[in-house]
Amino acid sequence: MPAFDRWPRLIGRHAVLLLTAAVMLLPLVWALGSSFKPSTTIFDMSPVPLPASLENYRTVFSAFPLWRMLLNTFVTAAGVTALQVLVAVPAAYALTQLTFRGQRFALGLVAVALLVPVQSLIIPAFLMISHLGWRDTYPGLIVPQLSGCALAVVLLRNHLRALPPNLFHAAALDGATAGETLRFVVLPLLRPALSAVVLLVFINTWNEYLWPTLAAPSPKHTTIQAGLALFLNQEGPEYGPLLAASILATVPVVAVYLVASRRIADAFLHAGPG
Amino acid sequence: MTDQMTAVPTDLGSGAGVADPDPDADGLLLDGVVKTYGGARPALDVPRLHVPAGSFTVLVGPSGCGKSTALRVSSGLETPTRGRVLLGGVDVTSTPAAGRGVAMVFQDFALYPHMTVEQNVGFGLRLEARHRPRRGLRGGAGPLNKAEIRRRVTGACELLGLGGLLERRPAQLSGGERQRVGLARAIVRRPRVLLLDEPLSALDAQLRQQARAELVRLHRELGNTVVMVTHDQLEALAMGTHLIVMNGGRVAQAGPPTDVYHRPADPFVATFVGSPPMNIAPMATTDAGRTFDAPGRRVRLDHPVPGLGASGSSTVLLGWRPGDGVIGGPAEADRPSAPGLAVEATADVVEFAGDAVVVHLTGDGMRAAVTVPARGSWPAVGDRVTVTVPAERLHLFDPADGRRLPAVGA
Amino acid sequence: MTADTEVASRAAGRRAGGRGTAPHRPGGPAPRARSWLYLGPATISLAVWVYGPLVFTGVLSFLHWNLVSDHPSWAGLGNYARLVDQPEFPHAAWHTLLYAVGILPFATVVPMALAIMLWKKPGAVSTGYRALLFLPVVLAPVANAIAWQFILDPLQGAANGLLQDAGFGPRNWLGDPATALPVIVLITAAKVVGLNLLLFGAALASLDRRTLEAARLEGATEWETTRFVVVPQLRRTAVLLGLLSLVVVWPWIFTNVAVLTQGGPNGATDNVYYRLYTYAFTFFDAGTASAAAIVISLAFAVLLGAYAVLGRRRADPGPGSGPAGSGPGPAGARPERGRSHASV
Repeated sequence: MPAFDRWPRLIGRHAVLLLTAAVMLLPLVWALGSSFKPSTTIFDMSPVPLPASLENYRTVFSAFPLWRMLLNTFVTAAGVTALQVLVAVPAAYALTQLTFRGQRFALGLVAVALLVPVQSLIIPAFLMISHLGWRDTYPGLIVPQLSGCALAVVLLRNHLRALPPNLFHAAALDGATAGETLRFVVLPLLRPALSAVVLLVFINTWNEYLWPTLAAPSPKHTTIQAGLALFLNQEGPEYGPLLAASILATVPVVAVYLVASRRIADAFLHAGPG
Repeated sequence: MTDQMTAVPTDLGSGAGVADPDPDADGLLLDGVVKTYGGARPALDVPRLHVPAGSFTVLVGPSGCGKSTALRVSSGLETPTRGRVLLGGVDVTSTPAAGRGVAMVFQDFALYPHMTVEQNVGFGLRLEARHRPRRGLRGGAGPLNKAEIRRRVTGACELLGLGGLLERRPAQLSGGERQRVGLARAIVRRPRVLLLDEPLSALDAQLRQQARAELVRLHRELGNTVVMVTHDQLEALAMGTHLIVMNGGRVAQAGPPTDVYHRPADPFVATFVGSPPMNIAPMATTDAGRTFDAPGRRVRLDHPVPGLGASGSSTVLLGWRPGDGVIGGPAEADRPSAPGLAVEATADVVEFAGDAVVVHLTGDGMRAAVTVPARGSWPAVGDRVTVTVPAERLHLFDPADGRRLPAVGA
Repeated sequence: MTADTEVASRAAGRRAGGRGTAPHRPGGPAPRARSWLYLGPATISLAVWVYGPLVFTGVLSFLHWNLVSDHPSWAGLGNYARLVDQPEFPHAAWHTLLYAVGILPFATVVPMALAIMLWKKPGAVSTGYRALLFLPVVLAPVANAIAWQFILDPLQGAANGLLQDAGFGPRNWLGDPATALPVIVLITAAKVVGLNLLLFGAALASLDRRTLEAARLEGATEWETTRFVVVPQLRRTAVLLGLLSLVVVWPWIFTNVAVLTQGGPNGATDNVYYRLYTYAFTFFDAGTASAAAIVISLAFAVLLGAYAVLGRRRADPGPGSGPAGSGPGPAGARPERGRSHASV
């Protein structure tokens, strides 16, 4: 078969992919470029920052509690992730490997929770943390986000279901209790899936915008996502520092992705419906 | 499910099991066990399934016959819907799997992939040490400390030729090695009953032959009761000291392999056990069971078949093993010299199988196979042949209920 | 056996009935109490942070309350009546549906097509594309919105610059009611596509490439192979991802609307989630916001349920995105395995 036959298809494919990538990446490229523009040229549309300047980054570091916000974001994301995993692993295990009455009910409880829109929960959640005096605190940022643990349960359960059932039968015959099976058999085998779920939850929490704006409105206590909005609400929006700060907020997550993209995908390998 | 389990009648009073009055209840006994998975038909329905103590019992049958369910009910991985499980005369119906003193080798071996061979084999012992740190092992071999665990794990692995592989993980092992790790894991805790769930089916043909002999040898050395499930009747005949043929959730026949082979209880067992399968076809009698006729076939007997007239039936299912047929000349068909069967048919397919030759015959609406030694001569495709089978080698079954009719020669 | 272990053993083995001569050992199906111990943390979390709030929202929806005063007053069905009477909410509901319909292709068809394209030619180039296309997912949501605001700026934006070069007049993309909603959908879609591309990639990774070769040997064209061999095997994944996307996409849409249009122009980009937020945290009308939340939850549950049922029914014949088993060992399919655990 003549090789030139394949050229049109090859070019077609790359054209589609490049175009999609270009459109999808436009905001990122523009944000990256513009974050290096001085305030005088910030409204120029060229993505190339000429002359380039670190003015925005200096502003961010000097006049903005960036480190504090990144720390808050990290603590929140890590806390939510840890809590969700702690809660989800035993639940997924019980839902897959133990047999008990009410199992279907428990599964339904988890599945329906997955479908409840977060927005219908924010008013009570907001009132609860206000009542508890948790506004502008880590517990206020972290604990209510346990509402998302249903997704972690469902993903882990699908992974557990994909393990050969005889492994668990072998453990039962070896005399392992449910707890020992969880500790010595399930957890070691679940490790890849677990790290994938950890990363998904982490990225999602890192980028959460609505809840931090409500739970921690003050700049010192909020996360970077909510903090970015502060640049818009003051007298006249400060686009340059905003873009610089958001680039800085994105770097850790990109790093995480590059390290772990395979594992994120892994989490969904076994996520068939139901 | 939990509630059903507690609803199973157990002995009142001491809580310890009471010996079953049945005298031959040592070994393993499923007593009136029914297991239903929610379907209309129970997966297992056995009034009595007995595994003699110390035997190498093979549960054999086609897929879906309930043999694996029987094994899992015995192991404690499944709880029977009804009935009792007795081990050595003791009711263990509600004893959890680990407390029964049974061990199992799974079809897929179910090795813990994250553990080395040594850790896989020793897992059960380490758990036992965790649960009862100060007590000695069952069998009284002294306290279960690290050294003792190591000694027993090494012992089991040496016995199975895994000595050099202790530090490997399952992924680094061949199929045969995995199977032996599964076996080592099962025997290391010295189970009273060793359950094998199709332990050879994941091995390739060559390895399977070798593993068969190893299993039989292992049984002889350990002397405990072994229950093996397989769908391969040749495997069952070759390995078992006791055979239980299952069909449709029920026991079709139980007994020594020779018995099952030579005196199959019904047409199912007759055709399931033996290769090539027994030839079975209906034949009608004209004179109350002395002669039977079908196109191209004729049976003459010295005595009428007893009980045939009683059931009011004038037909029987007549079976004969391919190896029992003798190929003679075409003329003998009309007038068999000795009592027995004579079949006249055409050789259709001839299979050379080394020691023997399988000749497939077709006749008037009939098919049959006959095995002849390859050392002699055998017919060519298209030849008209006559096959005779002596009367004492014929098997007669009642066409109504499949019951084996009394031996023809007797 | 010491007295201690005897007691412990009996307590642990209560359901073991007659214990036989063999000492009780743990293992086997766990008793109900212990199972709920494992489920406890998750159940409590969901009860406190999902179901409790849901009930609370339900109660609030029958009250007049400004989130602050100590004396909420009974409203009966008044809040619901207001939702229906005022044109904003039905309007927002209609637009929410438009958002959902608009997003769905970007949750299913588009990322599936891209994923298949990348899957067919594995290698460094594909990995690169995948990484690039995932980047919108991690970009800070507010920054993403701001960036689009600049790009779509009616006077200086790059989008109009390009269009003018091509001979079209400038447009106020976000200011024109006809284009504002589609633009928000497209902006949000970039994130959905990026995430789902990764997940379709995962499903494809577990797909047996030999089925492709078999189809090619039978003379199927490249398109036919894709259409009749690959796509049917991805159908279950597509249904799942469509469902999940419709669950997770609303916060992303919310951010874009909040930053870019605040529901305008003239309600064109309004949706029930933004409306709910406005009721609660702009007008401090907890009752109406809660009534909206309850209506949304019910409608959402009904629609997603229907979608799941329909999707599952249609997807059933396909072999599905069957897990390729990270589970080790040869997991031979056993012909008569009675799975003891309930699989739903």
